[in-house]
Amino acid sequence: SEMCIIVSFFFSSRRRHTRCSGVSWARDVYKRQVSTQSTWGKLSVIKMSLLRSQPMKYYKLVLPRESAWTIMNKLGEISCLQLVDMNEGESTFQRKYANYIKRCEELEVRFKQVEQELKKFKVPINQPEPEDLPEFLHNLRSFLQTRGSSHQNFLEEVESESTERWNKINEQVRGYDDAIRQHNEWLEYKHVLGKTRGLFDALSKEHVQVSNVAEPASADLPIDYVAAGGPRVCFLAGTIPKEDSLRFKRMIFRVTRGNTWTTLYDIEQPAINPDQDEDEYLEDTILDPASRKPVFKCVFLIVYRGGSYDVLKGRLIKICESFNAKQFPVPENEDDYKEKDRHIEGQLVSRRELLRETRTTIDYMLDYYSRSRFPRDRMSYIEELRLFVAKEKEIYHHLNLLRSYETYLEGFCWAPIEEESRITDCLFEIGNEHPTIASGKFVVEDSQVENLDPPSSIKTNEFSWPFQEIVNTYGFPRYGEVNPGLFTIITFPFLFGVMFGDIGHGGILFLFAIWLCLKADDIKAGKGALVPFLSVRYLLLLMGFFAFYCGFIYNDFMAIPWNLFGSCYIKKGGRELEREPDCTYPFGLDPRWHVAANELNFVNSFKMKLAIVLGVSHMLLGIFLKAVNSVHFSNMIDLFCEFVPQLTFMICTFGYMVAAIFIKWATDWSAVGLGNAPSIITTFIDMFFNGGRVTKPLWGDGSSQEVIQRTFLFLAVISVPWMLIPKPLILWMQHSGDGPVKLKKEKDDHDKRPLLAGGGHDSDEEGNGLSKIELQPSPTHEKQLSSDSSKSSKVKGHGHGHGHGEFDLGEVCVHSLIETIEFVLGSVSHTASYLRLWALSLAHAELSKVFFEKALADSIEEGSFIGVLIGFMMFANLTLGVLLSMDVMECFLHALRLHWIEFQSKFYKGTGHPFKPFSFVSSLADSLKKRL
Amino acid sequence: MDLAFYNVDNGYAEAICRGLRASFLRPEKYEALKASSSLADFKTVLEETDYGSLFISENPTLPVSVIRQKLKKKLADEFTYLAGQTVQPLYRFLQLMQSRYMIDNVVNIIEGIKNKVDIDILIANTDPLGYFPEIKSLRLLEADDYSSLYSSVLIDTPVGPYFMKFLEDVLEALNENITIHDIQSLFKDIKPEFIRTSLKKMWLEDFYTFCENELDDNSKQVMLDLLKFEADCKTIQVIYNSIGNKELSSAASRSSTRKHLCPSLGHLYPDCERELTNVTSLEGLREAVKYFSQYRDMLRDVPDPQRRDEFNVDAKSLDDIMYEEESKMYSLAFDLQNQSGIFYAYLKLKEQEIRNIVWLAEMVSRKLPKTSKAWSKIIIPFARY
Repeated sequence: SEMCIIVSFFFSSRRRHTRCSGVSWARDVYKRQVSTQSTWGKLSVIKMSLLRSQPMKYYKLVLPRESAWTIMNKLGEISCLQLVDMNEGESTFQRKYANYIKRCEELEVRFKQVEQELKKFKVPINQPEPEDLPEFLHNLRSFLQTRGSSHQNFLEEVESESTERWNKINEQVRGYDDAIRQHNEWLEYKHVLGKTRGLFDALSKEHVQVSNVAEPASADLPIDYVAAGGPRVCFLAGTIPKEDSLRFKRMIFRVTRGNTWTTLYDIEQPAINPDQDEDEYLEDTILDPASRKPVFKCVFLIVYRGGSYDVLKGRLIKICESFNAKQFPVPENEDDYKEKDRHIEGQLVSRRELLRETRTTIDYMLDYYSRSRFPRDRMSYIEELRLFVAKEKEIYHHLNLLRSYETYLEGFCWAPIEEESRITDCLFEIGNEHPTIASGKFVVEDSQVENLDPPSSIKTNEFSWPFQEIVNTYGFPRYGEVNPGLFTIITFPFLFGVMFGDIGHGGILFLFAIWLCLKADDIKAGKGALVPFLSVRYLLLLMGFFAFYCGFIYNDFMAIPWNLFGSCYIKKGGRELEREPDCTYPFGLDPRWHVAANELNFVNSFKMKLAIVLGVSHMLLGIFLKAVNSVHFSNMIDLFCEFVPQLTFMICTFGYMVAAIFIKWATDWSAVGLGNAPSIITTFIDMFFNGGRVTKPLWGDGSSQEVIQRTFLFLAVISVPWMLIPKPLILWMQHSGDGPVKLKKEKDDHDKRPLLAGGGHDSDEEGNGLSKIELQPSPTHEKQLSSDSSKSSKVKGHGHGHGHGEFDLGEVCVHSLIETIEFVLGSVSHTASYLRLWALSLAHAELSKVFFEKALADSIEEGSFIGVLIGFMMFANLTLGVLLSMDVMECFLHALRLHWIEFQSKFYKGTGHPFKPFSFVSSLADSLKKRL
Repeated sequence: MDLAFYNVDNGYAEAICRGLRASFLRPEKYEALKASSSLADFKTVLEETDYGSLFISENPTLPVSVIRQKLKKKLADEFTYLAGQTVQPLYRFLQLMQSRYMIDNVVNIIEGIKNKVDIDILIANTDPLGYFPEIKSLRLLEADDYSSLYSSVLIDTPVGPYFMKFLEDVLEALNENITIHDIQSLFKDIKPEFIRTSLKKMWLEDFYTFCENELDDNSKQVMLDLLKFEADCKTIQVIYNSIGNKELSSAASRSSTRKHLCPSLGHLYPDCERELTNVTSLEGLREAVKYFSQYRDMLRDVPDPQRRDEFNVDAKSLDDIMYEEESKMYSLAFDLQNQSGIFYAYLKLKEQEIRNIVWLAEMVSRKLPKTSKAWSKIIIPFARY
């Protein structure tokens, strides 16, 4: 029957999980046995970085002072170690290389200023992309090599050169700004004259005899007019920023108590496109010298009676001052106007000439920074310099992490074991290249790193990245912990597919993802709206594939079934259908079910059972992974007091339910009689509340079933106290027997460490040439180790739910109680939670059915062309908007929840911290990102 | 209900403000600041904090006054941004908070003009928090003519109403048949300090009324408490400072001037008003506020103002004690949810922080020995309560 397909399909996925976990678990045990003895064992360790984070070692790094820069430079390029901060207590400016960092920062500020000027003068800059960085580093290296031995003082050269150039540029720019200011002033004067000219004509026509009296000596002051025989009429003209103009007018009114007449005229400015070069609009625009944006100004003209002559005028001038208003002398007659006009024109022309000349000089100077200087590079020199300085800063920052002694620097670092040879090779290479300087030393300090809270390094590629991100969002894997990301690669898209199953919708998603994968490079180059999808394209691919596949299982193409193999149900006459004897629909659901009256009953029962089966197996995988973890950390208490009873409980309750489901599926109930088919739920209620009594047997006469059910019930009940009691008891016994456990543990550490470290060291001796270093852990390091170990034990204690510090029986008991309750109740509620697989797939199927029937099927039946057209529009939009956007997101979220809560809560702590290697590429990429 | 709907209008601004809590310097940073040996070091420490890029393009040996001005500018910018995210009545609330600084600016400039200081220097030294565009026009002040200053410059500004009331109060004291000359001489005699105290008193009362009438219940509760405390502090300060001052402790001026200067609100008003007006010694002041344990404790250790000559520089002054108490109250108010007091507390605490930084910068630039008690004269917001 079709069920067989599903069974094999289910088992195939199920077996995939168990194969992984089982084998890796076994290999784990194996690894622990061999890894300390043979190099062959070490190789197998190195290959094991999929399931766990990469194995790490704690190394000591000793750098002679004179070659520290060279070595750091190299280490940053190969990017495989993470330095530990040895001077945590010291603030940054107390450290050894603080003044270098300061110099770098000053340079950064300088370059920022240059960049601002470049932008202001619209000189093109070729910005670097993160992808260019490796190439840039290569170019930089070859550029520095051409400089020979002096490549270390390139920084000094950059410093002196940039200061010199900046001073020159700055001078020119200031000259340019001054020229703009002067130009503005003449331009404003021109406008003032233009606006006031007509006014005087009007005034003189009205026969207010205006004549000049007592012309002040300085030309800046306004020229006053006195009407012959009448009150003196005086004028004050100038310009003021437009936004201040109303306030200005109001204040003048108030101060002079209305005894003035103020008029404002806007100065019209041409509309300006921000991309336009200012050369084009400079001639008739008032520009703000700082921002190079047009300033809107008004011409004001104040007419006042010169009665209390000096008082009023003095006040008006004071107001003008307080508003930064510029005053201009106004000529008295037409001839003067003409003369002034000529003068202003001449001034404007000469200012423009000056501006143009300065501009050419500045452009020439800035062009130096706009072009590339390094061989084979395409970014601007300013960017090259900024990256260079950022890299220098990074080197000094990392040198600051080391502890400094007379002639050498010493520090500790984390590195994956597999990178060890690269680091030693790199040091060796430096020794060869620079035979005159002493090379650094790189030795294993501690290979038994579990107590030191090592960073976990998980390598991802484009394919596995989104899946690992799903896990990391919940919590970063602890060092050595099983990384759920590996399993998520299959289980996540699969569970999504179960919820989203539809041939059509899944197929569209699948095709979209395939297109994304094929066109990835083109899309990336085009920088369109699809770029964000690129990083998750493989996730979408698998999601689409599984949705497509599950669509075939459900036999559902946007609410239409496909009759691929010929239905097994034939018309018997009337509305009844009958199944052909011995006919099995080969794959998926028989299409006739979609038209059956009891379709929902059947499909629901099938999907619900499927959800339970998948859920229980998913959770069982989680429980097995817990065993893998506890074996890896050799925590036998967890293995026997948590894993074993939890597994027992799960198998005896829901594991049995899954078995019952399969038995029921596999039995041909029409032979037994349909009325005798037991309900799974009733069977289970009976099992728990009636002590395993069987009313309707699943197989045989029910006696064997009764025995099995009673045994399972007994085991499940037993496993609850098993989870609850032994663990706190054992811990308590351990603690009360040996005194404070903290002491013992520390003693253990101290006994073990030199031995193991020595062991690690021995095995390394074969591998690298640096074997003449004696292992003498410095006292400070010792201190750090112990502080680290106490820290990590705290972390661990927290993670495992029992503190290693002072033993508190009550706390441990409460914790155990909570965990037990959580597991027992959790296994019920989590199983129920997996029913969302059914619920969402039901919702999806019903929605697509409604959309199809209401939008499309009705209008097709009516047969009108327009109806079909409109209906199709609606159908397409609804399908795209609701099913292909919202429902994808909904199913995604529910799959996410199933992984985070139902699956990972069984074994995953996620309390680790990521390995961040000292790498120029990543730190420069960060600096680029920060700039945006 | 107010609690439930507070976020509808004010949630965003409150969230921003709450986020700004992370910008307060932590005690470790203060230690680092104390440890720095020169202003250049001092600057480097500040660069690691939220003030970060503020000094980056500055000359390493920048004077303390520039530091203060820059810090204040940053606070003012933040505050302006915050105000941009608010709607009424919160917007008005924030504006009223700024009025206080405007009063300070106006009075400072008036004082400067009286002392014939260059107006441009005065304007450059104004507190950015109390900036308003008309401030530049204060140069129009001539011959102490405050009424024309009001009618031409201040009338439109937030300071205007207070100034008008102040002028009314002053002129009311004169009798009917006055000449212009009388007014001029009256204006000449007014001390800027007197203007400041009177304006601030009016502002505080106005702010109090606003908080009482316009704010929602939770904000009201928090704000009134803070303002009452502030008013009481002011009252105690006025009385404390008048003790021993011959001019102010005569029986007549006790009732009039004190009444004029002490805000008419707070826990002490009006219950203790009578006792307070009659206070002539520190003992008397302690006696008058004995029913308020907080004030009693505050006054327990203050030096006696009547023996000013014996003041020990290292001892805590009344101001220090009050700053400390206020800082505690503001820190508490900051951490309460869904109320507008957070904005007031933020401004006050940031002010305290700037005061701390400037004080330490002063200490550093004077190269005071590290053993001096003056180093510990800073009050760290959120440090203890």
